[in-house]
Amino acid sequence: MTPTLLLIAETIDNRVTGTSLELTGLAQRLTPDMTAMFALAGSHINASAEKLAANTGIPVTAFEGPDLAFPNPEVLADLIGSMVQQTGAEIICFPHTTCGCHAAARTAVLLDAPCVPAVESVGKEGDALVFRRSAHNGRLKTTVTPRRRPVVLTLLPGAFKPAGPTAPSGTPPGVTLQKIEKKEGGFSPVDMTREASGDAALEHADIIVAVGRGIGDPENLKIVNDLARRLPNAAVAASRPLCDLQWLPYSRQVGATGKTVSPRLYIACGISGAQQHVYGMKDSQWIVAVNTDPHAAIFSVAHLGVVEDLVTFLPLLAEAYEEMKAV
Amino acid sequence: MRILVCVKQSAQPTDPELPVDGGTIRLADLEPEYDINYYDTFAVEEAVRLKETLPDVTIDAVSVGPDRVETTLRRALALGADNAIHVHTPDISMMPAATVAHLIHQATAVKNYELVFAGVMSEDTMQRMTGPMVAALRGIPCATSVIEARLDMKKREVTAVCELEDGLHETVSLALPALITVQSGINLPRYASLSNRLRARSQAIEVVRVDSADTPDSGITTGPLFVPPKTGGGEILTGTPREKAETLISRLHEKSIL
Repeated sequence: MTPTLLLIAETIDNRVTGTSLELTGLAQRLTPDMTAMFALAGSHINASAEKLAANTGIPVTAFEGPDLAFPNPEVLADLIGSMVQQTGAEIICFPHTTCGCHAAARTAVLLDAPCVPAVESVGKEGDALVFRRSAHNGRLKTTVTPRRRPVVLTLLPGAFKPAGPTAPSGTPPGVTLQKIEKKEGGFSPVDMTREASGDAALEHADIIVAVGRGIGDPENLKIVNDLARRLPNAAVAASRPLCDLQWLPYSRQVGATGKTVSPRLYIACGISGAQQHVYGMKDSQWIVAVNTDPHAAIFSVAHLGVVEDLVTFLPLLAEAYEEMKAV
Repeated sequence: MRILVCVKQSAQPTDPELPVDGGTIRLADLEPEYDINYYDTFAVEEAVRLKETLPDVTIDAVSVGPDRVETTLRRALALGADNAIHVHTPDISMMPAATVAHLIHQATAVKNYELVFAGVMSEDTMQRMTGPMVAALRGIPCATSVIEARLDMKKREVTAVCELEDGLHETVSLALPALITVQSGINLPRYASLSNRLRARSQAIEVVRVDSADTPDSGITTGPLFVPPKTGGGEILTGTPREKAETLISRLHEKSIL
């Protein structure tokens, strides 16, 4: 029997998130050495479980109970921990999200298992699996080799592509539904809300000029605003640290924890390209990066790169645009 | 009430000259600047704010690492922590989160903390693991990526708003004692006051020494840092700054984007 790869799909309102489907990319990579199975949790989860099994060709174990209406990484980790002990699963993989990381950390402690967070790719050295991940905002990478199993992973969103749809076979893979009784615990989800903001500038913009820590001084925002004012239907966005400093409102933050945008043109200025930010802008039609550091990770997602200081370069860019318009 | 804040000394490489693509490099060759992890400054501030609103709060800061970690603990003291615990280890590059969590747990398990704070992640390795691992080891509930926390001492619970992806916020209730990992922006960390800076300079730090032999095995082997080969990514424009600006505009014009 081949060893089991246990994938944990995240659900929001009992629906499987898009990021969770990327876990099938890992399954595809490790086939035929491993057999994949999915686990997921929710309060009314059967329909989503059937759909996941049918679309991926991977059998699904679904945990259903009142404690699981909202993401509950603590209960989920306990369920996954027992499931690993029962099934002997050797690789347990969560998405690298807020709840995925929380559940993965807890699962690793419960099982005393090695843990490799934010995996970007996987290779083999002999019998060992070698995982690759980023350090220092993606400028550098490193490898991590687990020395024993089971091992708990989190998969960096966007790093793996979902496997294509499976050829329809005679019998769809099985779905096992497990009812979970309500239990009193120290951790209780209360509510889930979507952040409401009246600021829809980023949603409506054709061009986004985004700025990061490389801006240095809040005074320099003038330069960024000036460029955005000249370009047609452009808006200014920021990476998280600038919003933390309250230089721009969080309604202008692009990234995993902010907005996901896909404008016609995204100009990333002084942004290192940390995974957190790239998540929110990688689907932009055209990406231009301006950064003083030629090794900045942003250059590997940009279509055009300029190694310059945004403070001196953006005024030149505004000027060149005005000249082009005048012709 | 006792509060523990876990702080990490994170490394910021300063030297932009890196070996060619695929080449390996040691962290020391990056001439790193060591400072308190960005996210942990918000964790310290959150603890200090609680201390200002509640009677009899003591804040301990704990950090794991070699001699140099002392400066980060003194920084935490300057930012308002009352005591510092240095879990002194050999200098291990990119110590696994599980090892750090076990060492923090071993050094603090006997102390009764009502609340434990940590930054949501470190800026250098971005793992998001140490906080929830410490909580699991202590056997206490945990909320992660928290952007708002309200403490109710009568009910002995914390209500925390966790930031999920794509603008979703989840509110959870934790029974004390509990651990919270703090997302940046939960507060605006203050500057260290002069009196705290002076106190931080000379205050004694509790040192817990850990030998290599006593360092818990995380079960993973971390390889060297290397410069990733360029994958994807487009053209890097050349010329004078002015020429680059003109080329960029004409390329975007050709593509009908401008």
